[in-house]
Amino acid sequence: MEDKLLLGLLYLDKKFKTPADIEELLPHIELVLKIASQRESFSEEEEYLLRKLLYRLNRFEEVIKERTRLWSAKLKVEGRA
Amino acid sequence: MIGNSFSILYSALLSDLKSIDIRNRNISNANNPHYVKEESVLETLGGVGGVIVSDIRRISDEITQRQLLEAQTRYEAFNELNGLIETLAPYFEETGGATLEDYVNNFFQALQDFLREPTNQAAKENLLTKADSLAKLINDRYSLLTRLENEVLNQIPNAIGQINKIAERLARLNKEIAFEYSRTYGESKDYKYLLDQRDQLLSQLAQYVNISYNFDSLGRVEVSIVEGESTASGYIQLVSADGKASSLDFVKDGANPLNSVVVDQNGTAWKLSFFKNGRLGAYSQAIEFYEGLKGKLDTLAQDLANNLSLNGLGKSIFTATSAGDIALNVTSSDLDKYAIAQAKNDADTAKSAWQKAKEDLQNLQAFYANKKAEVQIKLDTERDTYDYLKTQYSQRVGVNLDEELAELMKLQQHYQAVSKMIATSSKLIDYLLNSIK
Repeated sequence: MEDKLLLGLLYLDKKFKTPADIEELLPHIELVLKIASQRESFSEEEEYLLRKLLYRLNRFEEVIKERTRLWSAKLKVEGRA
Repeated sequence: MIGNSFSILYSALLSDLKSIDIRNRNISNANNPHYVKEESVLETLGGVGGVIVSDIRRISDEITQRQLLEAQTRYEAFNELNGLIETLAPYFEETGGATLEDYVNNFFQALQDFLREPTNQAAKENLLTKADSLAKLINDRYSLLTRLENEVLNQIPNAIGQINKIAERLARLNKEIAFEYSRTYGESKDYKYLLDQRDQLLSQLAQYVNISYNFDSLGRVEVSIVEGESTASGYIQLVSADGKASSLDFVKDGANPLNSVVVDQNGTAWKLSFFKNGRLGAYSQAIEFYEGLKGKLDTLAQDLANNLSLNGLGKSIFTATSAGDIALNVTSSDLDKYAIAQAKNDADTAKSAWQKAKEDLQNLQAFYANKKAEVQIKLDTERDTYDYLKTQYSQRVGVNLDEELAELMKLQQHYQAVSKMIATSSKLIDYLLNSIK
């Protein structure tokens, strides 16, 4: 289990680089977070990679949301959904 | 009628020439990262007819550009901040060489040795040496942070100077855009190269601060400094569309760096903590971080001074109001007069002071390590985001050579066909004129 978490985090650290990767990597991300949630403590490296993964998720989500907001403002279709 | 046909063909030739010029310009700027691809917009002429290049369309992507500039300003902040934090690594990472932790442990070990044998001359000398070394090391660390803080503070006027220069250039460019727009209004509005300069200046500005901007229909830009993440609300207007630039000033407070302010044209003072992005944001965050580290060192110094008041000496081993003034408070003759009966009690005091000093050190190290990891994570993410958006932006607005060459060939063929039609019409007129004779 321990190796699985670290391997999963290392894999995501290498592959999860842009907002466009979210869709493809979402199953991996969910699996890694599920494994992490079953653990009570993390090694220093695991903690660092987990922090990085969560920051990336938030930041990339922010990029996508901002893009949507800018398009809505440009097309003036906000609130019409 | 024949005269009209010549006029129509001539207008087609001129339009082709202008379009070929634009395609050539695209091709020659294929490797220019600041160039945005252009296309000619053709319009039918009224009256006798014909065609004209009425406008030059700039294939820009404002949405990606906005996101790119925002990513750039964040990346610049963390890149700069990472460098500033890295300079502290040899002093605060506590790996290799004699570390602060070693000095603290060596001092407490020497104190315990002395309290076990208060009359031992070697133990006295060792205690004084170790205590003095520890006080000096804490002083050095504090001085290092103060020196780095000053270096950062001294970089801020340069950054402010650059911001002012860029704002002035943008204001001048706004006037130039209006002038060129009027000048080229009747002939294809070929002034869009100025908008490339505008975008380049915006990109340069985004290296220093987070900007918000709006373009008007001519392409002139209004720029303000905004910080969404900042607790202070408001914005600093830098450039107006009619060509006015505001200049900023920096007022340094060497005694309390966090109270240094940036003053705008209206006289409003903006605390350094307002700035969160770009290089200015990095400087502000670095100073905040250095102050945090100094605070942790102060705690260590004050705890050493307050918790090591030994009954046998009737005084404290150190005096300190901060890490900057911690000093040895005992001399060799004080140790000679030590009341041996108090040794056991003092050993207990030393033990608990040692424990507290260890906690203080752990706090200091964790504070440094946590910030370092946070900045590294943000830097890696912002670099990837910036690279991703930069690639997307250049794919959308950059020049595709294959596409340009295909368009150029089409235009050349069209140009040749129109030239042939003119030659044929000319022959036809000659033939008609000869027939009349």
